Amino acid sequence: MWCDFFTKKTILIMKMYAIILFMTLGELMATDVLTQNITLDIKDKPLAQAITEIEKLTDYHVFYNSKLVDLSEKITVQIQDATLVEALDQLFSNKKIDYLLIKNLIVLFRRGDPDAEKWIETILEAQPAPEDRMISQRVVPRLTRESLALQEIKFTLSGQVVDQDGEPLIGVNVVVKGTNQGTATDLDGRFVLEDIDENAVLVVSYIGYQTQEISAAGRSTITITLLSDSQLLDEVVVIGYGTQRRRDLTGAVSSISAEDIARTSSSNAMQAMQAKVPGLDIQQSDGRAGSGVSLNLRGHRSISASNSPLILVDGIEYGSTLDINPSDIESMDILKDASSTAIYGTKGANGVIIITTKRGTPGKTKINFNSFISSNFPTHIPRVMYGEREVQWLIDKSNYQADVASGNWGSSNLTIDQVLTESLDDGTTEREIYNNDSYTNWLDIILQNGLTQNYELSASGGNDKTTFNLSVGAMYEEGLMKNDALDRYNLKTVVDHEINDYFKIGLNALLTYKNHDARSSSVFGQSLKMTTITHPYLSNGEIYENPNPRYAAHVNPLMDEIPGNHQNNIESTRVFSNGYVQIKPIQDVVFKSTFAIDRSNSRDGLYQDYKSVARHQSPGTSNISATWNEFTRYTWENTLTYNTRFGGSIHDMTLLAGHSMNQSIRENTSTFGDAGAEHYYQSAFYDLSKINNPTTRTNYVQQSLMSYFGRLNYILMDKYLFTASLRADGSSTLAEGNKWGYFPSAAVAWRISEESFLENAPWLDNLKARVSWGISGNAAIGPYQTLQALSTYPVYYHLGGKDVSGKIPDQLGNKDLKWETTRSTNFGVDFGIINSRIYGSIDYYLSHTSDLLLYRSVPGSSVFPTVIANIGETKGHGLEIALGTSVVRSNTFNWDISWSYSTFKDEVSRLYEGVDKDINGNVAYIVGQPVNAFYDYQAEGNWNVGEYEKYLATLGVDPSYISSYGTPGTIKITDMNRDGILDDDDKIIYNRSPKHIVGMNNTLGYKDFSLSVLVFARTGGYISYDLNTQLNFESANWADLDYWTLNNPNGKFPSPGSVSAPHTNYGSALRYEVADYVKIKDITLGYTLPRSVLGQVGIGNLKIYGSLKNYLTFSSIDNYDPERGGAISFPLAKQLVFGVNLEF
Amino acid sequence: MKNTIYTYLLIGILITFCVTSCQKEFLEEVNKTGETADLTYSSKTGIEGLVASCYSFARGWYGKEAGLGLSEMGTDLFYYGYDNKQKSLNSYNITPVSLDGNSSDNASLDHYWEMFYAATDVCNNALFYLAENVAITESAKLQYTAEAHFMRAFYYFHMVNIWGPIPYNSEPVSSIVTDPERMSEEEVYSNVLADLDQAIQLFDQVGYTTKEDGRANYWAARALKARVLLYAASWLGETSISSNPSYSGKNLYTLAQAEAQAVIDSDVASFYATYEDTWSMNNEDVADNREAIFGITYSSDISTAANIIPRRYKTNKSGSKLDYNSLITRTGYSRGGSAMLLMFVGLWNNGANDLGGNGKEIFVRSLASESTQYITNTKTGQSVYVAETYSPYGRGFTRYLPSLYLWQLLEEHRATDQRTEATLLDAYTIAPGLEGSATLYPLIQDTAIFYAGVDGDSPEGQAMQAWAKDRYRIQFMTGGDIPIYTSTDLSKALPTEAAKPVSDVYGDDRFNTYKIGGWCSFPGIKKFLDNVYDPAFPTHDISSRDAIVIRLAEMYLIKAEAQLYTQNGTAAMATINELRQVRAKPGTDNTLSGDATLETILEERAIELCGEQQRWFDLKRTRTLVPRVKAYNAQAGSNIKDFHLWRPIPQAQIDAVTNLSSSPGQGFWQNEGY
Repeated sequence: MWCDFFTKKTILIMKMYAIILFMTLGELMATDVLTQNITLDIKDKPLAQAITEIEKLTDYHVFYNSKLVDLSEKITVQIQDATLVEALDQLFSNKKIDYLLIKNLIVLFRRGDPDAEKWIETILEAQPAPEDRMISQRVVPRLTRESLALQEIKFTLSGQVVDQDGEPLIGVNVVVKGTNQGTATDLDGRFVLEDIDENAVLVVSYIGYQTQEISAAGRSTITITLLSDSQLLDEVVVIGYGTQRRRDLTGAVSSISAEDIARTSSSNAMQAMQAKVPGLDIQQSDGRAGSGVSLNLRGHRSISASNSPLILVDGIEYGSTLDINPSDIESMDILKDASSTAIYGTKGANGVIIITTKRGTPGKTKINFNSFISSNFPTHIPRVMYGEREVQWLIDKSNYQADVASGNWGSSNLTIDQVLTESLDDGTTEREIYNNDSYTNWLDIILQNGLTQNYELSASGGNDKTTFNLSVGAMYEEGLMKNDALDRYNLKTVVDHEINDYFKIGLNALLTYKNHDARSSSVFGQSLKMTTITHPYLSNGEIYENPNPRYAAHVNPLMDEIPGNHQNNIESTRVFSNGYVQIKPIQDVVFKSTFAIDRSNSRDGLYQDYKSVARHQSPGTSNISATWNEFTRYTWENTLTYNTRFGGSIHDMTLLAGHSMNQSIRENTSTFGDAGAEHYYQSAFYDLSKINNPTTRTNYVQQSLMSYFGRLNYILMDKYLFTASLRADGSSTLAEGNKWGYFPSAAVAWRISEESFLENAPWLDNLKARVSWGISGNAAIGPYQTLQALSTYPVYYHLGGKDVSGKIPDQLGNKDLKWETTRSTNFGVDFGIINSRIYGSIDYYLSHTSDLLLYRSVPGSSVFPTVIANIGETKGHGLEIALGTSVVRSNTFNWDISWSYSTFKDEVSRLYEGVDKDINGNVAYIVGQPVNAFYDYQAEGNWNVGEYEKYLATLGVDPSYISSYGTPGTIKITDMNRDGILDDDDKIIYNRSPKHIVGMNNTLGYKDFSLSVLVFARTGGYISYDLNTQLNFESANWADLDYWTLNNPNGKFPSPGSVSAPHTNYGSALRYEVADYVKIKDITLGYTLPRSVLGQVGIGNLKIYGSLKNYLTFSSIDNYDPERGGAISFPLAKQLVFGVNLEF
Repeated sequence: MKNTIYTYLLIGILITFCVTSCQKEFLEEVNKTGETADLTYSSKTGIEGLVASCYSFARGWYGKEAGLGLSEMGTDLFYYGYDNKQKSLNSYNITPVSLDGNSSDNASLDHYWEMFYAATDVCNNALFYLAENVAITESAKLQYTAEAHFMRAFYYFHMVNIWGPIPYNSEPVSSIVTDPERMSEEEVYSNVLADLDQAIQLFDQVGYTTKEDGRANYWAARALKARVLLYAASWLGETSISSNPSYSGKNLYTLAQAEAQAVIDSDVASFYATYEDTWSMNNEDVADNREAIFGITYSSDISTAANIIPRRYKTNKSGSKLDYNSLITRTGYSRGGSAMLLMFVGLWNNGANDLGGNGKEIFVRSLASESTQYITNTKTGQSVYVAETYSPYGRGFTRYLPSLYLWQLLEEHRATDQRTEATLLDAYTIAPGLEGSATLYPLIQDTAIFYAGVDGDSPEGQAMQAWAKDRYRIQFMTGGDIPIYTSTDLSKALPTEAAKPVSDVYGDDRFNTYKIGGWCSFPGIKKFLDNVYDPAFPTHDISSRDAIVIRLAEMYLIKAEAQLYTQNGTAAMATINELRQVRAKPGTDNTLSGDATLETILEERAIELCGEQQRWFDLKRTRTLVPRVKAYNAQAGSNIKDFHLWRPIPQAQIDAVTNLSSSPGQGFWQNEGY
C-alpha cells in the first residue's frame, strides 16, 4: 500500500497517523528488510507501478508528496534478487527523485529538496504541529540510504518546551518513560536530560496542556510544542471549589476556551457561549446598547423562582451581565448535572457557570493588546404598512364597514378620494401625499448604524514567587438609535505571591465603570404604529408634533431626538474583588480562605421633557427622576482540601470540606416628580429641586446565606471514579424552622478505555461512562416573603384639606416557605476515537423538582389573589450531544467541526389540592403540560360571508358565542368540544420551549489564516410576536399584516374596520408564531502574521481578523429574528467587526 | 516547623470562627423598610392612615372610566362613541374571562373584584386595630370605627349590586379560603344595614354630624342607608330582610322614606339657587358643595401621587405586583385624579377640517407651550389668547354620548328646567377676537359648533340651518346635512359614523371625514368638566374634582319612589315637583301634573343624576333594565338578556376555587348565562 499524503484526504491521513503513532512507540518492524530479495520486471509502466510492486514484496510502505514527486513517468526495468536499497537505487538512479528509509517507510522526495528534511523530521517526531512546522537543530543525515542506526547508544538530549504560540513554558515535567529520569523546564522553557537511551520516549506534561509522549530517538536537541487543546482529556476543568482533569470528571461539565471567549464582540461576554454548550439556551432579545441575554440551562424547573443558572466569577457570585474584558477570561465551565452543582446547594438547581479570569504566569512579561471595531447595522426590522399599502388598508376598512352596514357584501367600492380625507398641519393633504408619493418611513428615520469600539491592554508575568496580571479595557458601544450608547471602562489587577512553602496569598480586583445613555422604549413602538401617510416635519422645518391627522394622540417619535428632550443616563461603578490566603500545613493538605467584596453603586437619572414622546400627550409636564442604588455582597469561604495517593497509583483520593457565608445588602433611594411644563434641558435630572413636589422612596433588602459542604473524589486504578458531596445551606429568605436544607449527590464513572480488554483497540482513545445523581435547591425568591408586610407604597386619601397617607397590609406572609428542590439523574458517555479525531459526549438526564416555590392563584375573595407557597412539582428530561470532529489535520491545513445538540421536555406534574390548572390570562400551569407555555384559543383564520350560518347549522347545539361572533371578516376560533361556548376547555397549549437547539462551529486553519463559521439553529417553541398585536390600535399603522378582505378570504388577521369585540376576546390567539430559525451567527477570518516577520520588530504575536456577526438569519417569520423572543422594540444589530490581537 | 505551628493555629482559629459565627442571627430576616401591622397601627398616624386608606379604594370606582362604564353604560342614557374603551359593556358582550393586560375593551370586572375585596379587608383591618389602639382619644376611636363600618357597608353594597351573592369577609384575612361560599343577597344587605346602623349609632354617640373634612359622617350614613333601603326594597322586595332582626318584617320603603326625609330635614345639605353652581369647579370639594352629602375626594395636587388608588395585590409569577387596568388608574401610579372630565367630550378642536386646518383657524387644544395658547385671526392677523377659553372644553375622548332618549328628555324640559342647559354642552363658542377667522364660515361670530336638539329635516331645522349657513357648523339630533343620530326611532337610533363626501348645504367636501359622524361629534355632558384654567395643566387630562356620591336631590328622588309604594303616585309627584321647582328656570313653572309612576321617577332620575354612576343600578333594581335598554339603546338592545342583571363572577375566581359547582346555590357557582 502506498498513499498520497496530500491529495487523498481523510481516511488515508488517518491511516498515516496510525502508522506514525505505531512507529514512535519504538517498535521496530522488519529488521531484516534490507536483505530482502526483490525481483521486478516492468515494461513501459509508470514508476508508480514499480513502487506498488515493491510495497507488495516488502513490509515497507511508501510515503511521498505527489505535488513534488512525479511517479507517472513510464519506465522499463528488470531487477533480479536485489536488496531493497539496490532496487530503489536502480529505480531512481537517473530520476529527480531521492529516497530515505525510515523504519518501515520508504519516503520519497525531490532530489536535493531543502524542505524535504523538514517534513521527514515531522514524520519522525510524530507530532505534527497544527500551524507551524517544527524546526529542529537535528540534521538528518542527508541521503544516507542507510536505515537508521539500530544499536543502542546513550546520549544527552537538550530541548525546549513551548506552547502553540512558541512561548516557552516554565516548570514543565519532562520524564523518560518507564524510568525515574526526569527534569523540569527552566525559565526559558529549556531542559537537559543526560544519559538517556537512544530510543527513549519522553513524557512531557504540564497542567492545562495535553501530555505528550515523544520519541527522542537519536536526537540531541528537541523542541516540544505542547497543545492546550480544549477537547482533550487532560484539560483542566474548573468544578465547584477546585479543579479536575477532564478525564477524572464524573459529572456533566462543558467548557469554553479563552480563544472562543476572546472572539466575542458584544459588551456581554456571555455571548461567547451561544451555540457552543449543549443544553445551554442563550438568547438576546433586544439590540439596545448594553442589553443582556437570557440564559436557561436544561429547560425549566421553576415557575416563580428563577430559572437562571448561578454565575460565578473566580468562585464568587457575579450576575448575568458580564462586564469583563473578553480577553481577561481564561475559561468558562458549565456545570450541568446535579452531582456537579449540588456542591452549590440552594443555588445550584439551575446549573452553575464558573468563569475564571486570567492570572499571571511566571516568565517574561507579556503585553497583550486586543481591539476591535464593529459597525452595527439594523437587521430584520419588522415591516409596517407603507404608502399605498396603507392607503389600501383605509379603503378596505371603509369598504368593509359600508358592506357590514348594508349587508350587501362587495357593494362598497370607495375611491382614494373618498378615503384620503384628512389634511395635515404642514398644509398638505393625505391626497397630496398619495399624489407625490411623499410618504414617511418612520423606522428609516429613527434608526442609524452604530459603531462599537473595544480596546483591551494587559500585562502579565512574574517569577516563581510572584505573578501578576494587570489589564485595562475600554468599550464604546452605540445602539441603533441616536443617543443610545454605552461606555465601559475596566481595570483588573491580579497578584499572587508565595510567601514560603506554606503560605500563598493573592488578590484579584475587577473594577468596572459604565456610563449608559438609554433611549425610551416607547420610541420604537411609536414609530411602528405611526401612519406613513404623513410628514415628519412642518414646512418651516420644525418637527410636526402630532403627525397623525386621524389620531392626535400619536406623538412624533422624533420628539425624543430634540436635544435634551429625553435624557436617561445610568452611571454605575462596580468593584468585584477577592483576596485569599492559601496554606499548605503539610504535604497534600491545602487550606484556602477567601474573602470577597462585591460593591456597586449606580445612579439612574431620567429626564423626560414635557415635549418628549412619553410626556407629550399626557400629562404634558416635564418629569424628573433619579435613583441611586447601592449593592454590597460579602462572601467568606474556607476550604480544606486533602489529596492523597496510595497503593502506588491505585488509589487517588481528594477530600474537600468547606464553609461559606455571604450576605448581600441592596439599598436604593429614588426621588421623582413632576416639574411642570418647563424645559430643564440643562439641569435635567441633576437638579432635583426643580421637582414641584418630590416623592422619595427608599428600599433596603438584606439576604444572608450560610453553608457547610464536603466532597469526596476517589479514583481507583485510574479507571473507576467516584464522587460524593453534601452541602447544608441556611437561607434568611425562608421561614423559621425551614431555613436549613441539605443537598447530597453521588456519581460514578468508568473509564472503559483503560480496561485491558480494550488494549487492542488502538483507535479508541477514550471511552467513559458516567452516572450521577443529586439534589440541589432553589430559593431564588425575593426576601421578606415569610413576613406579613404592609405596603411599601403609601396609600393616600384627601381628608380635611390634607393628603393623609397610610399603609395597608398588601401581602399575606407564608410562614412555611422552604426550598424548592430538584432531584436529577444524569447518564453520560464521553468518547474519543482515532487519536481524538472524533470526540464528544452524550448526556441524558432526568430531573424532578418538588416543593415548587409558586405564586399560586387563589380566589380573589380571600383578598390576596396570589400567595407564594411550596406547591407543585415539575419534571423534565433531555438529551445533549457534544461532538468534535477533526476533519483535516495537517501541517498547513486544519479543519475542525464541533457540534452541539440539545433537546428537552419539561412538564408540570402536580399542582395543588383539587386543582390541576393555574391560569392567569394566557399563561397557565396545567398538570401534564409544559412548564413554559402559553394557553390560548386556536384561531383558524376568519369567518367568510355565509360561513357562520352554515357552521351553526352543523353545530347541533344552541350557541352561546358573544353576540358579534361570526361576523364576516372577524376571527374564527376552534370550538374544540363543539359545545357552542368558547371557554378554557377550547384553549390549547403553545409550548414556548424549543424542540431542538443545534450549534455547529467550523474552525479552519490554513497556514497563517484561520476561518471560523458558527451556525446556530433553534427549532420549535412558540413566541408571542408583538407585531401580531399591532392591530389593536385604531388609526394606527397595523404593521404589514395579512388581513381578511372579500378578495383575501384566507387572510390571517381580521378585517380592518371589523367590530372589535371578537378580536378583543379572542385576538390573542393570533399572537403565537413558531420560532424556527437558523443563523450564521459568526464568520471570522483571521490572519496571524508570521513570527519570522514579527520577531524582527519585537512583536511576539499579531493576529488580525474580520467578522460578520449575525449576518444571516433564516427564519420562519418574515423580516424577523426570532431570537428576540417576540419583542419588536429594539432590533438586533448585524455587525461587521475588524479586530487585532497583539502580543509583545 | 515554626511555620507549621502558626498555620495550624490560624486554621484552627478560622474554623472555630466559621462554626460559631452566630448562625441564628446571621440568618434572621429583618425588614428595615417594611413595617409591621402591630407596630404601625398602634400609633396615631398609623391608625389614621389606615382609616384614610379605607376610602382610597373608592377612587378606583368613582371618577374613573371603568367604574363609570359599569354604572352608566348599557343603560338607556348613553351610547359609546368612537374611541370608547369598553364597547363590550354597552353591547353586552361581557364574558367572565379576564382580559388582563389589555387596556382596550376591558370590562375590568376582575380588577374590581380584587379591588373591592382589598377595600373591605382594609376596613376589616381598621376595625380590628382600632379596637386595640390606645394612642387616639376615645371619641376619635368611635368616630373612626363608625367610618370603617360605613366604608365596609359602602363596598359590599356595590359588590352585591354588581355580582349578586358574594363571599363576605367580616374579619381581616389571615389565611386563604379556596372553597368560599356565596352569601345570599339578602344576608349581604342585612350586614350592610347592620354596618350602617353601627356607624349611625357611633357617629351619633360622638356627635359627628359634619361633612367639613370629607369623611363619612352621621348624615352620610343615614343618606346611604336611605339608598340601601330603597335598593333592597325594589330589588329584593318590600319586606325582604330577614337575617337582620332590626329589619325583619319591616317595610323597607317606609324606612327609606323616613331616612330620606330625615336627611332633607337636616341642615347637612341645601340647594343652590342656580343648579349650575352644583357643578362649578369652585364648589367641587364635597366638603364645600352645599348639595353634596358624601363624596369621594381628590386632592387639588394633581402632579404627585396624592390621588392614586392603592396598588393591586395580585402579583405575576415572579412575585412582582401587577397594576390595575389603566381604565381604573387613569394615569398609572405616578399621579391620579378624576377622569370624568374626559368621558363625555366629543371632538371639537380636531373635529373636522371645516373649521380650518383641523380647526386650527379657530380651535386649538391648548398645551403648555405658548404656540398652542394663541391663534392668529386669519382675517385681522391679530394674535388672540385662547388658552383660558378652550381649556374647559378638555379633550375629545369620545367615550360616551347621550342617547337620543336622554337628549330628547333634556330638550323636552329645556324651556322651564335649568338642568338642560347645565347638563348639555351643545355649543362651542370661540375665543373673543377670532370673529371671522374661519375661512369656510366667513360670518363666524361667537359660535363655532352648535348641536341642535331638533330634526334637521323639520321646518324648524331648515330655518336653523339657513341661519347657521356660513356662520357656524350646525349638527342636528337627526336628519339634516350632518345628523348625530341615524333615526328618530329611539329603539333604532345609532350614532352616525360616516363621512359626508359632499355637503348638501355647501356643496363642498368640508364634512368629508369620519370625524363628522355622531360617534365623534356630539353634544357633551357639562357636569364633570374642569372649568378652572390652570396654566400648569391646561390640557386637563385629570381633574381634582371630587366625585359626589350622594347629594340632596337624590333624597327627594328616594322619598318620591318610596311614596309610590307606601302612599300613591300623587304624593310621589308632589315630592318630585318639590325638586323640579328648585330646578326651575326663574319665573317658570317646571312642575309636572298627574300621578307619578315608576317611569316618572326614572325620567326624573335621568335628568337629575345622569352620569353620576347610578343609572345601571337603578334600572337593575327596578328590573326595567332589559325593557328600557331594548327601547332606548340600539347599541345594546339586540344583545341584552335577563341574565345581564348580574355581572359575571371573574374567571380568575372561578378557576381558583375548589368547590366549583354548576348548580346555583351549591358550592361556588358562576352567575347564570355566563
